[in-house]
Amino acid sequence: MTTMLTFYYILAFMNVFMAGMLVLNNTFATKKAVWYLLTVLWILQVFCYFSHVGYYPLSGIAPTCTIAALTLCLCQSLSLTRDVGSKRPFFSGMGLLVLAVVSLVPENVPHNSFMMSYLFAILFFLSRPFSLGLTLYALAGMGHLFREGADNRIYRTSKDAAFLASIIFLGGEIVGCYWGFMGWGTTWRWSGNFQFSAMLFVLYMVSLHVPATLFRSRKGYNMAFSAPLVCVVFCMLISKVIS
Amino acid sequence: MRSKIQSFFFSLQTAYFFFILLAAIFGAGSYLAGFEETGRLFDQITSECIWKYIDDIVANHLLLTWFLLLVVCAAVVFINTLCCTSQLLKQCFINKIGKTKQFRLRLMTFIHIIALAVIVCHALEIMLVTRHSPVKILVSGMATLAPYQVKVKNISYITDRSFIQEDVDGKRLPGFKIPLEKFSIEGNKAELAVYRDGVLVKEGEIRLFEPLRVGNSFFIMDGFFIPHHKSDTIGILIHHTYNPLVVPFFVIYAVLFTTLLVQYIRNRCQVSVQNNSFYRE
Repeated sequence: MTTMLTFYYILAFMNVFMAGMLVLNNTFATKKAVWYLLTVLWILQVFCYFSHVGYYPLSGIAPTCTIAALTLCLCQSLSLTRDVGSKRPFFSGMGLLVLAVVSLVPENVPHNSFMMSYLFAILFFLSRPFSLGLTLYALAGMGHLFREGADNRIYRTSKDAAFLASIIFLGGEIVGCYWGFMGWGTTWRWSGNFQFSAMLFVLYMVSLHVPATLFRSRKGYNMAFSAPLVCVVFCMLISKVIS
Repeated sequence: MRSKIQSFFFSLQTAYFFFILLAAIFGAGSYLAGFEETGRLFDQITSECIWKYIDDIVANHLLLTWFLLLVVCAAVVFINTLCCTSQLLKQCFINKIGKTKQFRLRLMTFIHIIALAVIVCHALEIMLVTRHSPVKILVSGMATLAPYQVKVKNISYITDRSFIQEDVDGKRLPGFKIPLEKFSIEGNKAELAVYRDGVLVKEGEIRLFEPLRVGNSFFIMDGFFIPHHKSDTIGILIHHTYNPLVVPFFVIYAVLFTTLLVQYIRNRCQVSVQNNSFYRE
């Protein structure tokens, strides 16, 4: 079991190194094989984590970062052919670097409670890293737009990624409500966790409701679109680290 | 003045600013929940009914301000969504726009109508839903969970009993959670008989994650216990919640989720058609 944890940290360091390479070398970032290798490395990292702690504690730092990184890797791999020449792979690499560094933060091994084995609890906890990965992908696209200027395709895919992230997040909230109702008889609680989730969802709404008339330039609009998403990523990660 | 108010409520900018404000309010609420006094009040209004603690909320100026801001902000978002939806609805029936655009517009309108229903549902839930504190009932025992009387006819508990043994203070092992492989959700259950004014209204089984429903009331199992002084007997911890909105709540959310997914898929299809036409050119 300890071996699995050691492997987890070895793979995390390898992912930090690989993500660092993506950031430092743009040619490296546009190679398909690199992204496939990264996907495999992250799969191995998540496998080591679950082999060490069991399959159900999905709320910790490690599953959040690894599943989010996998989502980001897959999204970037799918769009890589068209992204050659753009800065999106570079910014995706930055996102991966952040996730890889955060996945190194030590945490107490979460208790594998039977409460977590409930299907709706699993779906709720899974929705967060998927949303996080898609949000990072959306931000990677916006990063390209800041650096290189207008690109309609990247703008559309970024907006769609943010939209899908918000849908998955909402889906997670719905199944979470169901879990809460079946387990505790409440769909909404006035607790810090629930209000934090509501804040994240409203931040997605802020991002998707930016009025074009409010900004004179495209850059301002893109900034208004990206800022709430940056907040979502920051809040999701920081909440895992400090909890 | 009138046109200013009208343009305020019909504007996307209003929605944008109030969404930002709403996010800030929820963020502040999340922070306030960490304080002892406000956290306790939040717990109390969660576990019972908001109206029962209204005096405590009024006495706590910080929490009162927070609640007022939340209500005002949610109300503005609601009115704004209502106004924008009415505008979208009007546009839906203009025949001049193309079929694809019309479908998109109708879908958008529908999403906003559902969003309105979600806001209404949440507001009603806060006002209508009532819960009662959990009660302990031993096997063959009876307790009143107004307006019902609940009798525990039988309890089947197959997990290690030492996990649920209470100490002198009526507490179980502090901070201990039963491990996944040692607890059976299916095997640990209780048979209940629910009476109202002495008349049997429902009999059924109750498990963790499987409440017993009687109309709009739900009996939720919180756990099992073995009293300190009676190690040969077993009881359950149960509470009652009255929620007439639970079915519409989940139906509305499911419809919203599905519609949003449809919208996303259509967006992607449109992009792929546009991309293909771009490459053909």
